[in-house]
Amino acid sequence: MSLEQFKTRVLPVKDKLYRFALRFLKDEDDARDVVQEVLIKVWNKRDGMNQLENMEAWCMRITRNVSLDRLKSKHSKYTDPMREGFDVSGGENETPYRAAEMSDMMKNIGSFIEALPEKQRQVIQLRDVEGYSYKEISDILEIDMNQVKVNLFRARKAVKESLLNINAYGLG
Amino acid sequence: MDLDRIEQLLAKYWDCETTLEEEKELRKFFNSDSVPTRWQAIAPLFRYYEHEKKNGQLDGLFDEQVLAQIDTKRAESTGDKGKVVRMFYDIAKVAAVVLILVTAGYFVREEYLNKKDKMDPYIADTFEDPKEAFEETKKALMLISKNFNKGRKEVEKVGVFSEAQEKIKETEAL
Repeated sequence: MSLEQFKTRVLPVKDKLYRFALRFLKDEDDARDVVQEVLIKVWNKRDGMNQLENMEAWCMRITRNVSLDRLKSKHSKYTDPMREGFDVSGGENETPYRAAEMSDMMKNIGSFIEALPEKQRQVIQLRDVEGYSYKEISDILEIDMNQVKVNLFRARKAVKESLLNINAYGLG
Repeated sequence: MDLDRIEQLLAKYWDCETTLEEEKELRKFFNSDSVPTRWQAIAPLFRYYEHEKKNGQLDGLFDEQVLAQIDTKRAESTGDKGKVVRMFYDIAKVAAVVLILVTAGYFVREEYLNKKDKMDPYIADTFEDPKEAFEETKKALMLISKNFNKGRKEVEKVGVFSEAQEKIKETEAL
């Protein structure tokens, strides 16, 4: 794969990779580092890439693995129970700019999705934000299709219920 | 847009039966300005998804950084000079090991030879004068012979017994 191909085929995926990494790491700088690492890895393996049926899903999978590795190494360096236990909403790095841009409802939804179990959160991210097919999601997360569907179903159901609750009682 | 269709799609959406296309349609609809009041509660969800997608983006600087890294990688891997230098380093490593082994071998050999030279004369020649050596040897042999004779006398005593035994056997035979 030439540099030109890399620029046209791989680089445009970077934002998806970045958002996906951000879901795991909840830190913009870390996510940025991860995406950079992933892209370099992809470049190093560029010779075998033409045989891949779905390059984008492959990149996403690498992103997931690198993010998980990073989480693990971070975890062993210092455990921060406060952050882990209580920080379910603040993970999205709410800069004033972002906060103003989002309505309260959307913020509530955001924090609710943050609080979903890990698998459901990832599936929702991949399907409803990024628009991947079930097959692609199962490739990325390395779980089978039924698992994807079950997780998505649960996640959407939980989101729906929370929406109705917010609506009925006016609180999230 | 057909509101009944949205109603249907929404029901399918909650049951996870929508296709990606249909989901896109829903997203477009709820991100438009004309959302009827009955769906005001649901619209923020799709707006949130849209917002997430639009918001989490890397800046242009990122591209430059990655491409710069790749450029340096390419320069490293394609440069012939790099290969020669690497080969030289490999050879130097092997040479260093060989040098150490040879030096160690040399000193061990030296030590061994030195020892052998020092030890040999003492083992070969304990006496300077041949006569004295002869006397000393004779003395040693005499000592052995004396002890040997002492032993023989004892054995002769045992011989008495066997003679007696033979005599008894002879008388029994008669």
